[in-house]
Amino acid sequence: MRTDLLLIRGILPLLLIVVVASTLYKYFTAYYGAKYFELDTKSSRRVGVGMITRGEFSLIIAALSAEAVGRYAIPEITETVPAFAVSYVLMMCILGTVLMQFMDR
Amino acid sequence: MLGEVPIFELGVMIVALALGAGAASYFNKSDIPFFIISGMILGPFGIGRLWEFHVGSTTGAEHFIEIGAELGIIFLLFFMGMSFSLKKLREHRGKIAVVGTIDLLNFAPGILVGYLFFQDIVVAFLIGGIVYISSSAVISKSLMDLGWESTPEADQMLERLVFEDLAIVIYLSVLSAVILSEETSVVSILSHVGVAMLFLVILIFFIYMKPEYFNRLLKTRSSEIFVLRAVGFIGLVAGVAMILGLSEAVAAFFVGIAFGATEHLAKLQQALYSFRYLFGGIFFF
Repeated sequence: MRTDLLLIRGILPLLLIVVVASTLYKYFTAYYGAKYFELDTKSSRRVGVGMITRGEFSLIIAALSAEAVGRYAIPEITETVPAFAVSYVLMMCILGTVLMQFMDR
Repeated sequence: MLGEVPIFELGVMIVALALGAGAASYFNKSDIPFFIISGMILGPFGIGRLWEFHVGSTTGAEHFIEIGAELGIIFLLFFMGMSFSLKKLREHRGKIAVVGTIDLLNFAPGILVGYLFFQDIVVAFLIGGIVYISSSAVISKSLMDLGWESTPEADQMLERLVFEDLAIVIYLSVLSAVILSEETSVVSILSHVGVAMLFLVILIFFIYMKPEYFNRLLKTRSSEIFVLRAVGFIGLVAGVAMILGLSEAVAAFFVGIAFGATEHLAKLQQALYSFRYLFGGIFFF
C-alpha cells in the first residue's frame, strides 16, 4: 500500500484523539459486554484490552479508500485517510498486544 | 539501473517480507506491524525519497504489486470465509447479537472526530470503519500466545469478531458501491448497489440450496487440478463481482463460506495457505 506517512503531520491531533478515544471506547464496550454475560472482573478486563488491536481490515478499508474514483477522488480520501489508517494500525497493533501481555500478569 | 529489472524489485520485496516475518517470530509478535514497516521503508515514500530505486519503481513491478495486493485481500477474505463459523453464529446468535450491537458503538469515535476534522460524511464514514474493526488475525494470535484460548474471555472475543466480520462485509459492499463508482446520482448508485446485491443473493442461494455443487467442483484425485479449480473459481467469482461493482473481497468471503462447508476444507486450507501468505504480504507494498 503506497502511503506517504509524512502526510500525518497535518492530522496529528486527529490521530492522537482517535487513538485515545477509540481505545477507551473499545475497552469499555467490551468490558461491559463481558460483565453483562457475567464474566468476573479480571476476565472482563481481558476482553476489554483484547479487542483494542486493529489490523488487516482497517488497512483493507484504507486500500479501498486510496482507489476512490470520480467525485470521491479527493486528496483527503485517496491520501490522507490511507496515511491515517497505516499510522493508526501501527499504533493500535502495538498498544493492543502490549496491553494484552500486561493483563496476563 | 537497479530499478530497471522488475524481478529484482520483487526479489527485494519478498526478502524484506521474509526478514519482517523472521523479526516478528523472534520477538514473538504478529507480523503485521513488521510488514507495514518493511513496505514503508522500501516503498516510494521510504528509500524512494533518497534514491532512484524503490520497490515498485518500474511499471512492471508496480502493476504486479497492485494486482498481487488485490489477490492478497481476496485470499484473506476467502480464508476468513472458510473459517467463519456458521455453527457458532447459529448456536450463540442471541449473545452475538447483543455483544455485537454494543460493539457497533465503536463506529462513533471515528465518525465524530473524522467529521469534526474534515466536515465530510464520506471521510467520516471511512475513518469510522477503520477505527471500528478489530484485528481477527492479531487477536487470534495473541490469544494463542498467551494461552487464553478456550477461556470464557476468549469465547467472548471470538463472538465479537464473528459479528465484526459480518459487519465489515456489509460495510465493504456499501463502501465500494459508493466510492468506486463514477455514478453521481442517487438513483444510479442505488441501481448499482441493486445489481451487486442481486449477484450476492444468487451466490448465497447456491451456497445454501446447492452445497453439493461446490463439493463436486472440488472433487478430483489430482492435487494439481484441485488447486487450479479452487483458485480459478475464486478468481472468476471475484472478477465478476468487480465487473458488477461489488467488492471482490466480499465475493471471496462468500466463496470461502461455500468451500468451507465442503468435505475439502482441510485440503483447501493446506493447499492455498501459501497463496494467502505470499499475496497477503505483497498487500503491504
